[in-house]
Amino acid sequence: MQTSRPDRANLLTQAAFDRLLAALDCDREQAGAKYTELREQLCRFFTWRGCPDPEDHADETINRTARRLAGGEQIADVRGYAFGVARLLVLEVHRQEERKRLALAELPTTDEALKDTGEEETRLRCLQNCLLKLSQGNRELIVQYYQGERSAKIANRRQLAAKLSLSLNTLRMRALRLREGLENCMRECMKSEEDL
Amino acid sequence: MKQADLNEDVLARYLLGELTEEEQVRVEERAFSDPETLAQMLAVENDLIDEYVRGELPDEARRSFELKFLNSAERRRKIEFAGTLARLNPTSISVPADAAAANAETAPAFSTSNATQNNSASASRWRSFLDSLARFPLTPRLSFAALILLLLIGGVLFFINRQRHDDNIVVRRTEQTSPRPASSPDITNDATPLTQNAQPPVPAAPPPASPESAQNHQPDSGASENGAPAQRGGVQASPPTKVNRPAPSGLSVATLVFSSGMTRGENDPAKKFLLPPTATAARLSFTLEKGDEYRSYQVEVRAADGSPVFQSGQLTAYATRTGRSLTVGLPARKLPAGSYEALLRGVDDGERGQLLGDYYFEVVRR
Repeated sequence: MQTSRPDRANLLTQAAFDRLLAALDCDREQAGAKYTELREQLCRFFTWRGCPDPEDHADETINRTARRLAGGEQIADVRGYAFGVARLLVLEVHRQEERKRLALAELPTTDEALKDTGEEETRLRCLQNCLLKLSQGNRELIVQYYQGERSAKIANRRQLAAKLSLSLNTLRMRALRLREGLENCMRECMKSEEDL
Repeated sequence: MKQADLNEDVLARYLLGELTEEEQVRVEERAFSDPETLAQMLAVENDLIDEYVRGELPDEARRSFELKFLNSAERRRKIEFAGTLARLNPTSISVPADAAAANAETAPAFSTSNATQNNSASASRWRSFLDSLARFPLTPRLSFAALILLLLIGGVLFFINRQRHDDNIVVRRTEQTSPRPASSPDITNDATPLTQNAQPPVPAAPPPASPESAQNHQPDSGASENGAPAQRGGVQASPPTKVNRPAPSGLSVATLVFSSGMTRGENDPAKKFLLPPTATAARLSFTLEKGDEYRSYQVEVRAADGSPVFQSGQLTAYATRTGRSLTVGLPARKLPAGSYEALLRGVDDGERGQLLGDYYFEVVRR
């Protein structure tokens, strides 16, 4: 089974894709939005379940669901059905990963994941650049939000929320958005550094 | 599981794969139907990643984390980002962007636009200075030029002389740390202050190509190699090398390097490991001897009374210029001031670890 790289024969045909969209919603535009949402949720699902290629697994899930539909199967709840397929796929992926791990006789380790590639300085410089692009308020928020160890961090966030007159949830959402923005900015910066 | 039960602890356990399948499904359903829960999940995910890179996760959670999070490229990128974020010195970015543009000295120019502004400003200052000089008669101008030339030559000579002087000091310091008898006390600690590393705060990232280069050539770090050579299995340890470079602010990881063959003899003092209060993680780095080749390795740290302090997962060694090494990270808070023993074991398939060395060290907190 190829979970991460579906072969050409298993790729989605236009007819199967149309069938899937029609099953998601009779309005084509709504169906497109639902498809995008479903794919995004599947990607998150596979990420959270610790799978190596969430996007490929999400596509494989959608392909399998669409093929069922194209084969004439009546599916009332496409989203629920797709998640059912996804849960089975997780089992397959984990079995495959386990076999791979045993074959290589090694677990993923920090050493492999966090190799010092000599890019750390560039990364830090990029992050500082990106932080300087934020407004002073947002910069202080993001830095303070992620300050401190476990228990200190919680107290720190409460204080920060009180200081900014925000609920903890709102503060969390803001920090999350800022962090995502910073991550994207840093990636762009690293990419342009590589191109130089 | 009730809806109200979805607190951060449950979400963290979900992300670490510690819930039953049924519980996992409920968490997922909730996260996909409620944007607030989804945001909470993403925030908890970020916090877990931060705790991991800072070495704050308990052993069990760390193992689960590594199994779950190191699999996907996307998450590895997140971990890299978190490592950089943790390494950031908050004071270095507290200058507002507009002030940074206006004052290149208080905030180094990070963007090319700032650099361009500064360059053009200094160029115009030079131009007005030269214009004012041109208003003087020729003789004073030539005298002034000669004076500038003399000052420049003097400056260059002074710099070269100073450089030679510094080189001499380095040579003398290296001589001080050259091999000593195994029973001699650890003069690195006695004679000079300990040097701490400024590493990206990751628990077990390997150091650069060789222990020497790790200690001498890291861009912003010194090394904490501070032990005396001693015997293990009749092998003489290599002498410790060091750099007395001031530790930059914002440190979060301190590293202790054990050279091959090092252990504590009956009369030898334990290696001293200076852990500053700012350190959030400690790294122990081991240089492996020839023949110590195993599929994986484990490191156990015990307190002086034998009580367990830390047990690593499976570690893999990495090649360095002079041999092979491995590094393990642990939360600095697990090492209060006191004496410790680090046991290094080699592990092959299905076998119990083979003890390769025991290393004694003393943690000094200041």
